[in-house]
Amino acid sequence: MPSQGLTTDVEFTPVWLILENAFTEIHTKNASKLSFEELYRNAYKLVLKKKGEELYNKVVAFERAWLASVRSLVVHTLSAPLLMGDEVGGRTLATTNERREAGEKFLRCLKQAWEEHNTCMGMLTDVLMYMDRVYCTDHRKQSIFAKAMGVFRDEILRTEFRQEMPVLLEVLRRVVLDQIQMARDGEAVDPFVIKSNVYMLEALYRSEQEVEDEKLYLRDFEPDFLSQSRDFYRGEGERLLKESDAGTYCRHAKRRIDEEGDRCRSTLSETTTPKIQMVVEDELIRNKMKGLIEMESGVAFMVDNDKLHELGLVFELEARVDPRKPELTKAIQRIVMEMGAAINNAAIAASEAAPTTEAVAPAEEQEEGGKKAAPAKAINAQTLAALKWVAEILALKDRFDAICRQAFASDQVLSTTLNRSTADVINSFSRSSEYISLFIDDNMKRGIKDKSEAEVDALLEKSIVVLRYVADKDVFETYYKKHLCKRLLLKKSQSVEVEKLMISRMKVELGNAFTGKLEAMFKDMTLSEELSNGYRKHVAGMQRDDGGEGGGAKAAELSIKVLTSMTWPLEAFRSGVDSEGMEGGNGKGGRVEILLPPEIRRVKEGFERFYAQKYSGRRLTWQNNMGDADVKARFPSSRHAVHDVNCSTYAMLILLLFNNDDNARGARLGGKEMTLEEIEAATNIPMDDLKRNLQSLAVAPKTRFLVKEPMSREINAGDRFRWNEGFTSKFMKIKVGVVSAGNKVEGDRERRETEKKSNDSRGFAIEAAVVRVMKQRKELPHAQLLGETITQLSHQFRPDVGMIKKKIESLIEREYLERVEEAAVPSYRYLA
Amino acid sequence: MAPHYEQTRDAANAALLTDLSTLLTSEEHTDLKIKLGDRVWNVHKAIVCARSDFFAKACKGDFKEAKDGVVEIHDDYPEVIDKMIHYIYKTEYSESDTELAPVLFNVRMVAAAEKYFVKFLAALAVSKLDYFISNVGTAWGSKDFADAIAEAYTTTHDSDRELRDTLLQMVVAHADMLFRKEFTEFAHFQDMAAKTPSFSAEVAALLAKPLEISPILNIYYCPGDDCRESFRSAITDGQRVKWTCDYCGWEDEDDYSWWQSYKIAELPVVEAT
Repeated sequence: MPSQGLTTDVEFTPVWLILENAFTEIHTKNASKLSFEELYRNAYKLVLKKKGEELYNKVVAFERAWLASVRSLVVHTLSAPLLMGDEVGGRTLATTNERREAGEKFLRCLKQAWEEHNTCMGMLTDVLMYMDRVYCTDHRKQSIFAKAMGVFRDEILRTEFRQEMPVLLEVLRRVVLDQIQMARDGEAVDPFVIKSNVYMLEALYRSEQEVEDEKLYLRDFEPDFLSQSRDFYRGEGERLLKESDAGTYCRHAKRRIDEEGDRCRSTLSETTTPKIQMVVEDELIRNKMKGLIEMESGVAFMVDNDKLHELGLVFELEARVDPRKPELTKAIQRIVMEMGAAINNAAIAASEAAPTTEAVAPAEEQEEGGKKAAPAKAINAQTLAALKWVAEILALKDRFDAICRQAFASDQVLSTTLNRSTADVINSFSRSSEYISLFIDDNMKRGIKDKSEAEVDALLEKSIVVLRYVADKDVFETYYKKHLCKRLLLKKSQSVEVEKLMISRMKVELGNAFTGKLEAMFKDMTLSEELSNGYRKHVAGMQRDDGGEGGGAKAAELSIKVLTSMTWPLEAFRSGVDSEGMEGGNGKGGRVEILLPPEIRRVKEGFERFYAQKYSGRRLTWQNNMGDADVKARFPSSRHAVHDVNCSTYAMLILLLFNNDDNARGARLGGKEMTLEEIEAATNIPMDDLKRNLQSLAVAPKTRFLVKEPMSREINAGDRFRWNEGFTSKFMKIKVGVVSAGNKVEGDRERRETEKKSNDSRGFAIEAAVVRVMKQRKELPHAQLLGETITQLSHQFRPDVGMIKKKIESLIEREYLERVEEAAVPSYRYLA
Repeated sequence: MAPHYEQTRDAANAALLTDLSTLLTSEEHTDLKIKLGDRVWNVHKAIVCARSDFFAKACKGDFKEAKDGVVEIHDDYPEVIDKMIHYIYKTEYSESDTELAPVLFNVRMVAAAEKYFVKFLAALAVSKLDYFISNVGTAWGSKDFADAIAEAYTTTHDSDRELRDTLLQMVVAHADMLFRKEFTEFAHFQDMAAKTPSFSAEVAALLAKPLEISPILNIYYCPGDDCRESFRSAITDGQRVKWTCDYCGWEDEDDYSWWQSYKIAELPVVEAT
């Protein structure tokens, strides 16, 4: 029986000698003549006979000795450029090329040593399989392969090979870092040989425990790589900020980030990618963003020169490092605010530069911004300034919208910032509401003429766009009502359709409450039309019944507008100069009734009767100051027998004074003369209106129906007037200019009144809101009441806290509320 | 009735095994020779290497075997290797046609299975051995049994507890006879025991076992509120114990150190088995 002495003992040494010889052959690449079975069997025998430990130690010792010889081979490739001095000194002593070649030679040698070690250990592991599985497992020993890797680390990388010299691990690190630096400087280095060495560092652990994050790569290479990169990019970033422009910088930074990502893939380890990119982002972006944005060629420059692409780059860069993009956001906000302030200041300057005919208002002017009051009569220039302001604000917004869309990928954060900045610009301008309303007014009167539907639509949209930003919607409403009122009553609007379209847009944007009164105005207009028609029919019917009595040529026609009081801001028609107190919708009290000649009074009373039939319990208040009249006039010297004169109601009343039925045919009125005071007494027209109308009738050359004594521009007390028999005009139709017509920028007096009015209405709104809140809550601390009140009102205007406090005080006085004495924080209680 | 697909699958599995056996006997497509002395087996690398790590390593890499397509093995019994190759192809072998006693044969099979890393073969051999010695009443007294023990303790590795425990169980059961000097029919066994100290030591340890001091049973009281029910537990450091109180229904599981605060007394008790 071939019983094989397995039951008997084996001697270690002869068997080991066989194995040792074979291992040498394997390491010298002569394995093909070796029998695997023989080697396996011998190793198996030793382990089976409990000589596993001896075998294990012998193998380790063999590898240690072998690798020591490999180390000297590797050390041999270290040439002068790599050995000269330390990291700093060595650099300068050899050319880049020499250093690169020397480095590659070293890296190649080390790579080869590593790869061969792996191959040989693979074969040894196969041969020693029984030892691994039985001895190592039972005795909790590292596998021989892992052990041999540790031996490689200790013998090759960590053993001091010459005094005063760093170990090879250190040399390797420096060489790789040096090669990477060369690559960054544009040298072509061999990525594969570096990558192979990185694989080695990734496969080796610091200790026998093989803890995952104790890999040599992670502990002995990566931290140095990152810190060296940090230094490099810090320096590069600083240099670039000084030397190049912002666009170039952005492109460079982006390229560097991509490059480092690629480098990790091709040369180092993918696991490093996020870390190195973080370093580059830190040094080239995060820490430099502020500097980059504030560079001379920075964001402001890019905006000025429409460098959308470069703005896009800046955006992309900052977006990488912070989703909030704080620096870019701040910069954009600043630029918008600056540009907006320029527009606002230009508007103010334009209004101030306008010719001044009135003294500057006293300093009690309480408008914000320390602005000087605008002269009341510099009207046209101001209107222009208003139009210009709106156009410029729109242009500003369009411009940044385009930037946001094209360069910032319509980013949410930046859009929000833009909107907020635009709102700030608009709201920091105290006349924004008025200017926007004027802008719409101008377009309604002139702008939309001959425009296509789409163009009109765009105009409306623009108005809404700006309007959306206005915080004090109530102020805007006041102006808009005033302007709309004039447009409607003076028939200045190009198209009622467009007006209504505008209102419906506002309704969508600002809500029903906002447009309710505006819509009521339109309703009044329609109703008035129906009333006028109805009345005309009524009169025609009466004339038929009366058989023409009392009518005939003298029956004046009437076109009437019945306006609901409170809805219409009729004070808009007051002349800017000291007029007679409050002359609002029903401000009848204290006013002197205008004296009408009988033929006019008949018409008036006729309509009042007619109206009273239709609506009982309503009182009509006549706004004579706002009417106009068509009068037929005969002038003996004029080439037309009859002139159709269109003039204000007041002018008509004045003219009628000089009419005389008895002498009508001959127009021989020459003798009748009246003084200013007599005219006033005969008509009761307020002096101011009277003077202005007389100016039109007796001073304006084209409509000088009256002759004034003495002849001068100004109307003064004691002036005398008589019929101008010599009047002549080549036109049959003559329109008497009406002073105070269009919508212009307010004078400071008007402005103060508007403000006072809006303050009053705000006061009511605040009181109402406070009461609403308290009624619901019964008891509420002060701070919370303030908060809720502000929230409730925010869609109308920004309430002033001081005003809210005052209103609360006043509500307490009037016993709507009371202070809660025992409360820890100041609180109020609602008194039902 | 098993579902239809299971029947199909079982049939397919059976066919696979048949086909593999046919491959072994027909020697078609063989690409590897296994030699032992003058015996040669023509086998398939793909199959042998898949089933044995030894052959897998031998056939890969730069060694002579990979180049020549011949693996020459040594120190083995041809009939054992033959059955091992059968097992590789068929997952089964039969020892009935060997000249060797089944005990000895199966011990050798375990050794071969361990040497050549054939999956599950050692376990199969041990269970066959166990079956044999448990069912053949006199097996424990045979000379082959003693020889098998000797080989088991020298040709398989120490950590193979399955084989050793199977043998030891039988030895301990009959220790009163086997080790008695006056029973000369067991002289061969006694001689083997004297020459195989690692075996004798294990027998001694097993025989001493009933003399062991039982674990200390301490008395603990119920942690439930106001419940003074008590119980005994042998819990030692590192263990956890779960206990349900019959009296108050308290139930929880915790570790040794926690239970110590509920300990009433330590009562070492020696219990005879």
